[in-house]
Amino acid sequence: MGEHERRRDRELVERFRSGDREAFAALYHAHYPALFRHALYMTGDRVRAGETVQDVFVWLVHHPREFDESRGDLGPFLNGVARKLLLRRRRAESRWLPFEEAAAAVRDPNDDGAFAGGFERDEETAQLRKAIAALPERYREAVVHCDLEGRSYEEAAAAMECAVGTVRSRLHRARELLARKFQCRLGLRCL
Amino acid sequence: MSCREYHSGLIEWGRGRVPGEAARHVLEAHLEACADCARFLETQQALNAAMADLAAEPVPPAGEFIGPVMAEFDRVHPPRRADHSPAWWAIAAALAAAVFLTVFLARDHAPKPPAQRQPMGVTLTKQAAPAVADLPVQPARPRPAALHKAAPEPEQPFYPIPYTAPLAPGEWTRVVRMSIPVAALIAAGFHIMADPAATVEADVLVSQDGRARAIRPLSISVSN
Repeated sequence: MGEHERRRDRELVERFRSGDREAFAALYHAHYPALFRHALYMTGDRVRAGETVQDVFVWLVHHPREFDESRGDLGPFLNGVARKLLLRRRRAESRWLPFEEAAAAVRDPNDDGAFAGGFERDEETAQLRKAIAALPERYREAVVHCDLEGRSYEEAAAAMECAVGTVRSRLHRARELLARKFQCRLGLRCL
Repeated sequence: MSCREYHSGLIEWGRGRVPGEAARHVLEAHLEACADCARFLETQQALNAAMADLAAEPVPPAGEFIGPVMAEFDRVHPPRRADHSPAWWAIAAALAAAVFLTVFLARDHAPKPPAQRQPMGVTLTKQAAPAVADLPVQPARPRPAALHKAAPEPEQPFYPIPYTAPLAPGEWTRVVRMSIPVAALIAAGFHIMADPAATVEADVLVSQDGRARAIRPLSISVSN
């Protein structure tokens, strides 16, 4: 984030805290794309991604003083909020399995998240998104931060609240898992 | 070394981070002898390209999800907020009064006879109310304060403050009555030929965002 964006965010946050509606809307528009992408990569679902973005900003409305400018930029802070909300949501949802999903999982034994051959490029991208979303969360986070959002290992470690070496090993494990699916899709012998 | 031990270096290579020369020689030597690892590297590179495509996917318009967010903002920040301190109100009202009185000075201030002492050069009301400057001065009467009063008209309207946004239809407002020091008006850049110790009592119309939008002057007081 450049100095200009950083200064803009700080001004908007100050105005938002004093109840400025336009400033809050400007913050939303400035951070919506990155947040939506992050939520989309983590969930693999556009509807859930949109809901997550909404949850993050509604949380911000209720906690205007939680963001501390001296500790970092607003973007990573909102990403952290999204991460915690997603984790909470996943834990809540893990207690319940809709009947339709359970039935579908039983009916479709080939649905292992692997890529199928012959997909168009858009379809391939969608399949990759689903494959990433199907990774265990700790691996998925590493892929999202490092490969999709272009963060360094150090930045990803700060966001994931773990050691740099952990990020690296999780990313490598995630890419090994994805490579197996990719090799199958390419018609090569699966690893 | 087993193939698995080369994977870490191959993954980084596949991510576009070409290893140093020594490490690359080791990896290349292994790749020449191991078709599986060569495919693994190829797959990692293909994976990287697919990830780049995924990262470049457009996102839906921001407006698609903003509705409930702004509705929550409006619910949490109702029209009347309690987080404005009295000092803020006083400053806002003083500035509002300064702007308002500037306009009236420019429009309604009549020239005074040179021989008559003018304790105030301010005309408070728009038309019919007597200007303070025109009221007779009674210096002999010992009055500690409030020498002159310009009685407000019963239906005195609020005068919008120039350069402020107009009120939205149906917008909440509140009226704050306060005494505004002339000194504050002067400090705000207002040209007043009056005793700085004087004060203006006025009703200030404040909109829901906490800003003064209009003013209704009631009286002016001059301390000796």
